[in-house]
Amino acid sequence: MIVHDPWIRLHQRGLTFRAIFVVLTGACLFACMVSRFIPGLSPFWQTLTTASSIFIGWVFVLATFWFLRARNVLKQRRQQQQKLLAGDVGQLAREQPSPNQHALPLPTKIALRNRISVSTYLLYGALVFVALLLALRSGRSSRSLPRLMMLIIPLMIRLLQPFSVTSPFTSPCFYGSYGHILATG
Amino acid sequence: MLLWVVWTYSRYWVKVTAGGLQARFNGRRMQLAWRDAGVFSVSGVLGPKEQRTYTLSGEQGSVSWIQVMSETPFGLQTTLPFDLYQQQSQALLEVVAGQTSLPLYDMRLPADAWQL
Repeated sequence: MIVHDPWIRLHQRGLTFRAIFVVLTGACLFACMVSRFIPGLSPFWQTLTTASSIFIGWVFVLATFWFLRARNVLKQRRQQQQKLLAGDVGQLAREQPSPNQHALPLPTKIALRNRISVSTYLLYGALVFVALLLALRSGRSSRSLPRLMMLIIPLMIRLLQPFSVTSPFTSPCFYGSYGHILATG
Repeated sequence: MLLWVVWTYSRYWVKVTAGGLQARFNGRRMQLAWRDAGVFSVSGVLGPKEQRTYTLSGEQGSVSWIQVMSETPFGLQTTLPFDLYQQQSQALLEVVAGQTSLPLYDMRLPADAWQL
């Protein structure tokens, strides 16, 4: 019996992350839209909210799609698991590995590593930090801040990628079903 | 702190020993003795650039590991030459099958399952 299914746990965590992301982007979008109707708002904030709402709106749509897709997959996986527990032999793999206890010398460790090295993450982190500093310093300029935000947000999204093996950017399904771009834990 | 998290989550390995399997999967270390194994399954997405996740699970827990099926410019890469990696990965499945005598269940989903 499958007591712990890391795949489901990973996707459940991913689904929670996606749900939080949808709620946050939805709240940001709502705040941006509402703030446009607030009288007496400074031109700086008017510019900021206009630029932000377009971008956040786009992110919101993507995040919603991302969430729904993950929910769909998780649902199918649970159905599969229930069938398996019910003894459905139709799920037996067509290609069964031939049993051979001595196929590998013991102990053997097979490792994988992320293509993006820690030094690259350091570079990303430094870029985000510099961008944030510049944003703070040029906060009074109504033009430069939205531009900087557009720079920072994609970088932050890129930084979050390795937290999920099935991140839409790295997952096989992304590259498969969408020409396959943006998992878990 | 962030670097530590990134480093932890970017390490994946599976170690086969005489007593069972040990693995690091998605930042988590797992181990399972051969005698505790109850279900052997493969998950992932069917397709040319698939990445398979094998899971050996039982009452006491489970061990998952990833098998990269092709070399891509993104995601995970092997630490061994790819041919040798594939040979070792296949041999690992044979060891698991031999040690547990469990059939492999295919729980992979077709690529269209990821569409709404």
